[in-house]
Amino acid sequence: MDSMAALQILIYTILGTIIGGILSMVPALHIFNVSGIALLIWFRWPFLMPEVALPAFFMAMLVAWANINTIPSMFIGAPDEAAVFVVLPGQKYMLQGRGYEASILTGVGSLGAIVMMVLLTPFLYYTLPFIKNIRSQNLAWIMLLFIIYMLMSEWPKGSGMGKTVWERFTWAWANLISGLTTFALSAFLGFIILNRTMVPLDMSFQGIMPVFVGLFAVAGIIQNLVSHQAVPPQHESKSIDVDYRLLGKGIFAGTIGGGLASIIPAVTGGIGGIIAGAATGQRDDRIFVISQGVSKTIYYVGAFLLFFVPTLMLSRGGMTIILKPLFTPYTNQEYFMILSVIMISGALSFLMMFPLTRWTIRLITHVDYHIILWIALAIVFVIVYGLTGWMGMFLMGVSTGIGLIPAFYHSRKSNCMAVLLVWMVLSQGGHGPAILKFFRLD
Amino acid sequence: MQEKTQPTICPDPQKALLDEVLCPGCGKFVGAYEKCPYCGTEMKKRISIIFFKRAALVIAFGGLALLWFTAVKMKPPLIHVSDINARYNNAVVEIKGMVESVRTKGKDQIEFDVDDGTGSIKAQAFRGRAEMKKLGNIPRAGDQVSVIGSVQLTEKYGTSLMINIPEKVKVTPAKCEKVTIDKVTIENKGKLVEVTGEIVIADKKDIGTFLTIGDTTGMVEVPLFKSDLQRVKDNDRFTTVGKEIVVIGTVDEYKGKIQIKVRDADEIVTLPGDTIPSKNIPGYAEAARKEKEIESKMSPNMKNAENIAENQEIMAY
Repeated sequence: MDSMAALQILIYTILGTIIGGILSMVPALHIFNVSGIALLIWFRWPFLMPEVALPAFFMAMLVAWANINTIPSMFIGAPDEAAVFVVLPGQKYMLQGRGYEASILTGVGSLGAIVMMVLLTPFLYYTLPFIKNIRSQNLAWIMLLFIIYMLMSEWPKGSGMGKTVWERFTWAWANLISGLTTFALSAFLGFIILNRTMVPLDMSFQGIMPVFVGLFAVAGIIQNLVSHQAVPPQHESKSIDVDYRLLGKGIFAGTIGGGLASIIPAVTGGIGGIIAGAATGQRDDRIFVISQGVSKTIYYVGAFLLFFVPTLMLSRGGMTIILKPLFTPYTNQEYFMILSVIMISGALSFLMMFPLTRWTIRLITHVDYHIILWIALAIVFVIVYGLTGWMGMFLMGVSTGIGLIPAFYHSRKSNCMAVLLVWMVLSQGGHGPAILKFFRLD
Repeated sequence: MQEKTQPTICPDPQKALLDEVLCPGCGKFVGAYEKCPYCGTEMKKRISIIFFKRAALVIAFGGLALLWFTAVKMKPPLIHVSDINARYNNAVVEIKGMVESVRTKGKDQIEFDVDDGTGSIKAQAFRGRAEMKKLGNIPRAGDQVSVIGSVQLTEKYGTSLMINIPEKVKVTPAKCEKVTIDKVTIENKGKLVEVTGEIVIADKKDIGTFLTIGDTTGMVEVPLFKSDLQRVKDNDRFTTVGKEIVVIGTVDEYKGKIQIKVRDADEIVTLPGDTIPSKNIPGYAEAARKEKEIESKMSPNMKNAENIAENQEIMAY
C-alpha cells in the first residue's frame, strides 16, 4: 500500500467516524439504512470516494454507530435489535439522574470490545477457522438452541397478580403468550420476506431493511410517544461507579456474548449478551450495561472484521452482506489495515461520546422528547419510502404492528428476531421447501 | 466525586403530568376519568392505551394476512442476466435460458450455468440434487430451463442464483439432432447434436483426454475433462484409438476451433463394429501420424502409470 492510499484511508476513516457518529444520534436510524444510502450515493458519484477507502469508510461508520447509537437508544428510546436490552437498565439510570454515567459505561464497554478484538487476533487467525468448520456442520441445531433459550427465558412477569385463580393464571400467561405470538408472527413474516422480493427489484439489497425498521425502530418510537416519562435532571459525573474487577467481568461477559452473536447467524448482540450474562452468572446492573456495550460492538464490528481474516473470511452481519458484492479482502495487510481503522475510529467515537451525551441531555431537558421522536419518525418514513417505496412502507407498517406487541404486552423484543432465525434453522435443516409449500409461498 | 447538575429549563414534567390527572374545575384528583366525578367537568380527551394495544394486534394479524395474500399472488419476476447488478443482491427472480454445463459436487450439491442470450449465470443448490433426480428435473447441457432463485453477488465468486426449492427448476429437454461431422460448424454453435465417429486421436493430458473423432465427412475435437472421465466407469473404452463412438454434446468453439462439448460422458456409447473405414475419413493419414507423435512423446512415467493402472485392474479382476 502506498502512502497516498494510506492517507486516503486515514481521511475516510475520520470522515466515516464523524458522519457515523452524527447520524447515530438520530433515534431509529439504523447504520445499515445509512450504509445503503451511502452506497447508492457512491454508485451515482463514485469520484466522491476512492475504492481503496470504501471498507475503511464503512467500517469507521459502523464503529462510530456501535459506540454512539446507545445514547439516543437510552435517552430517547427506539433502540435497534442489538440494544433492546440495554434500554431498561439505561432508563433506570436515567430516572436516577445518572443517564450520563450509564452512557459512558456502555462507551467504556465499546472501548473494551475494541481492545479485545485486537487481543483476539491470534484466536481469529488460528482457532476460529476450526470453530467455523464445526459451526457450519451443526448450524441448524445450534440456532435451534438459541431459539429454545430465547423462548424459555421469558418468565411470567404478572404471576401472583389477580384475585381469582383464573385472573392469576391469565396474568401469569399474558406476557408468555405475547412473547410466543410475537415469535410466531415474526417467523411467518420472515418466511414471506426472505422468499419473495416485496420491494423494488433494484432495491433488493435493502429488502429486509423496512422490516427491521418497523420491528425495532418505529415500534420503539410509538411506544415512547404514548408514554409520559418525566426526565429528571441529569448529573454529569466525573467518575463511573465501577472498579477494575467489575469492568473486567463486564468485558468478559460481553466478549462471549458478542462473539457468539458475531459467528452465529441471526443472533444479535443483545441475545448473545443475555446468554453470556446468564452463563457467567452476572447479576450486577453495571456489569450488564458494560457487557451490552461490549456485546453490541463485537456483534456489529467484530462480525464485519471476521470477513477480513484471510484464514477465515466469514461472511456475517449486515455490513458484509451490503459490501460483499463490491470487494473481497484477501491479504493480511487488509486485515491489519481494517484493525487500525477500528482502533482509530473506536478511540475517536469514544471521545465523541462525551460531548454528544452532554448535548443529548441538554436537548431532552430543553425540548419535549416527543417532538424529537416525531422528527425521527418523519426521517425514518422518508428514508423507507425513498428507498423502497409504498411496498416498503407497507412492510414497515406490518412489522411495526408485530414490534408493538412486546412493547404493549410486556414480553421480550428479541422475539422479533424470529424473523430471520426460524427460516434459517428450517432451511439449514432442509425443511425450507416443505414449509414454503405449506404456506403456498413456493 | 465532583458533580454538576444541569438546570431544568423546560416546564416541570412531573407538574405537566399532574395537570392531566387533576380536574381543571375543582382541582381534585380524577385519574383516568374522562369526566370529573366530583364536579362533572369534562376532562381533556385522552386516548386509552388499550386502543394502541388492540391496534397493534389488528395491524400485526391483519397486515400479515394481507402481506401473505400479496406474496402468494406475486410471482418472482422474470429478468435478464444482463440486468443484474449489485443492487439486485438477494432478489428472488426467475431466469430462463439454455444450460451450458452441469456440475455436481459433494453429496447433494448441483450447479449449472444458464445462458439467457444476454449473459450467463451460475444456478446452484447446496442441497437438492437427490430431490431433483427424484423429480426428474436435473438439467443437462443444451436443455432449456426456467429457474427461480435468489441472486447472490460477491466480488469473489461473482453472480449466482441460489435455488431454494428444487421443484422450481423446470426443464425442457433439448432436441438432439443426429448429424454428420461436416454439420458441426460455427453456424450451429449451441445446438445439441449426436455424432458417430471413429477415434482418430486420443491426446491424454493432465487435465483430461482430447479426442479427435472422424467420419466420412470430416473430423472434430471432443474434449473429455478429468471431471467428466472420473464419473464414468471403464472410461478406457472410449479413449482407445480406432474405436467407434457415439457422442452427444453441444457445438462449441474454443480458440477459434470447433469442438463438441460432451453433455454427459456417461452417454458416450462405444460401437462394436467397424462401420467407418479409416481410409474414408478425410485427413486420416495426417491425423494418424499426429497420433503416433503423441504416443512417442508420452513420458515413460505416464506409460508406467498406465501400465501400473492396467496391472492393478487385471489383478482386481
